Amino acid sequence: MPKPSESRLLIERIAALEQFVSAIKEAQAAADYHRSEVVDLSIINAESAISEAVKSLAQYDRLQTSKSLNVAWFYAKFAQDILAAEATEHILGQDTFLDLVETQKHLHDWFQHTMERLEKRLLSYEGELLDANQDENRDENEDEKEEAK
Amino acid sequence: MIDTFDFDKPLKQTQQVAEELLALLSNSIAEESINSNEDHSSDHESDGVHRQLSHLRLAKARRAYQKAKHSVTEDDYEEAIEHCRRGLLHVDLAKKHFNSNKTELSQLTAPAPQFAEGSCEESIQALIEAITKIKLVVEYKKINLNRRLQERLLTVVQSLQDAIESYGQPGTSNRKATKLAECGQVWAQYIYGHLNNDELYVQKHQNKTLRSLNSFAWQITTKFSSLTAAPGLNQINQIRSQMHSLESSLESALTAYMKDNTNDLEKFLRLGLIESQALMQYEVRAERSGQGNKADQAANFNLLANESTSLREDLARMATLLKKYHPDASKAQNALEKLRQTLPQMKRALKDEEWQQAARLLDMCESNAALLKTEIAKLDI
Repeated sequence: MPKPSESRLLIERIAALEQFVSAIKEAQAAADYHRSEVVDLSIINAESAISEAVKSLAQYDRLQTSKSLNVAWFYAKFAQDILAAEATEHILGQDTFLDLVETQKHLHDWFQHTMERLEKRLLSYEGELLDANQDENRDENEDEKEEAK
Repeated sequence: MIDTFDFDKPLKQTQQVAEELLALLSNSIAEESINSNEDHSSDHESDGVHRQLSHLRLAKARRAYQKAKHSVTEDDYEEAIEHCRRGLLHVDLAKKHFNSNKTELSQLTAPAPQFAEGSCEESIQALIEAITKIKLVVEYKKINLNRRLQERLLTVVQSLQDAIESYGQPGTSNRKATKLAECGQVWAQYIYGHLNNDELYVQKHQNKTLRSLNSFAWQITTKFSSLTAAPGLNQINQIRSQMHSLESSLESALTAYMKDNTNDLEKFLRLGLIESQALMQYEVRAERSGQGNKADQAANFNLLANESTSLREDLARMATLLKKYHPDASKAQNALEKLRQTLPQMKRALKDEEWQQAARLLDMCESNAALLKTEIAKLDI
C-alpha cells in the first residue's frame, strides 16, 4: 500500500480532531450539573482553529495547517481536562466548581458586594460624625446649664 | 472520486484547471450527497453526531462551490481553484465523518500529537496540565480561593490563551508563545504552592532559568504556608505584606524574563531571596515560641484563603473592570476616581476631628457613590 501523502495525513488529523471536539461538545451538553464557560470558549476556539487548518491546507500551507491543528488540539484537550475534573467533582465531591474565567455572575456579585462594602463604610463615617455632633451638642448644653446656674 | 485527488500536487492557475476542478467538486458533492441519503434510510441512525458533522461539511462544500463558480464567472481562476480545493477538502471530511463510528468522549482515544521535548508545544501542554491540577486540588480540598489568588489564576488562564494565540499566528516564531506559557507555568507553581504546599512539576525543566524561577515560586510559597500554619502567630499581617512584596519581586523577574533581560531577572531573584530570608526569621521565631506546630501545618496551610482585599484595593480593581465592561465608562470612572481621592481625606478629617470638613467630604462621597451605583446598573455583564 502506498504511503499516504502529507495532505492526506493532515486530512485524517482534521477529521479525528473534529470528531474529538464533537464528542467534547456532547459531553459538555450532558454535564447538566455545571456549565463551564471556559469549556464553551475552548470549544469555539478549537472549532475556529480547525476551520483555519482547512483554509491553510487549501492554500498548500501544510506547516500552518499543522500549527492550526495543534492549536485546536490544545483547546480541545483543555476542554476535555476541565470536563473530566468537573465530572470527578460531581461524582465524588459536592459540586463546588472552580470557574477559570470571570463569569458574569461572579462579576455581578462582586460589584454588588463592593458597593455594599462602600456604603457600609460611608454609614460608619456618618455614624462617627453623628456621635461627634451629639457630643458637641451635649457639651454645649452642659456649658449653657452651668452658665445658667 | 475524491479519494484519488492529490491535495499535495500544485495546480496551474488556468481556466481549464479551474473548470475541471469545479466539475470534480460538483460531482463529488452530488456523489456524497447521494451516499449519505442512501444510508440515511438504512440502519445508520446511531451515527447521529458524525452524520451531523458530515452534513455540516457538505453544506460548507456547497458554499465553496458557489464561491468558486462565481470566481470562474469573474475570470478569477486563482481564487476559483482555491475555493474548489477547499470544497473538495470539505467533501473528503464529510465522507470520513460519515464512514466513522461515533464514540463517547470517555472511550475516545484523543488524537494526541507527539511534541518534541523542550518545545513550545510541550510548554503549552504543561501549562494546560498545571491549570487542571490546580482546579482539581481546589475542588477536592474545597478551598475558597481569596481574591488575590483567584485573580492570579485568571491571569494564568489568560497566559494560556495568549500563548496558544501567539503560537497559532501565521509567520511568527514560537518564542513569544513559549515565554508566555513558561511564565504561566511559574505562576501556576506559585498558586499550587499556596494550595498544596508541594511542587507542581514532576520533571525538572531543561531551561535553567525557568528552573530557578519555578524553584523560587515554590520556595516562597512553602515558607509562607508553613508560617501561616502556625496557629498563634501574631504577625500574620506583616507576613502577608512580606509575601506580597515577594510576589512583586517574582512579577518583576518574570517581566525581565519575557524581555530577555538577564541582569534584571537575576537582580529581582536576588532581591526576592533577600526578602524570603526575612520570612525565615518569622519561622525561626515561631518555632522557638512553639507557635509552629508541625502537626497542624498540613491542615491549616490555607489560612491565606481568609485573606481579604481592602476596600481601597477593590475600588482600584473596580476602575479596571469599569473600563472593560462599561459601554461608556467616563461618568462612572470620574465618580470612582473622586471617591478614591475623597475616602482617605475623609478618614483623616475624622481622625483630626475636623467635623465640618468631614461632613462636606461625606456629602461628596455619598453623591459619588450614588452616581457610581447608577452607572454600575448599566454594566454590560
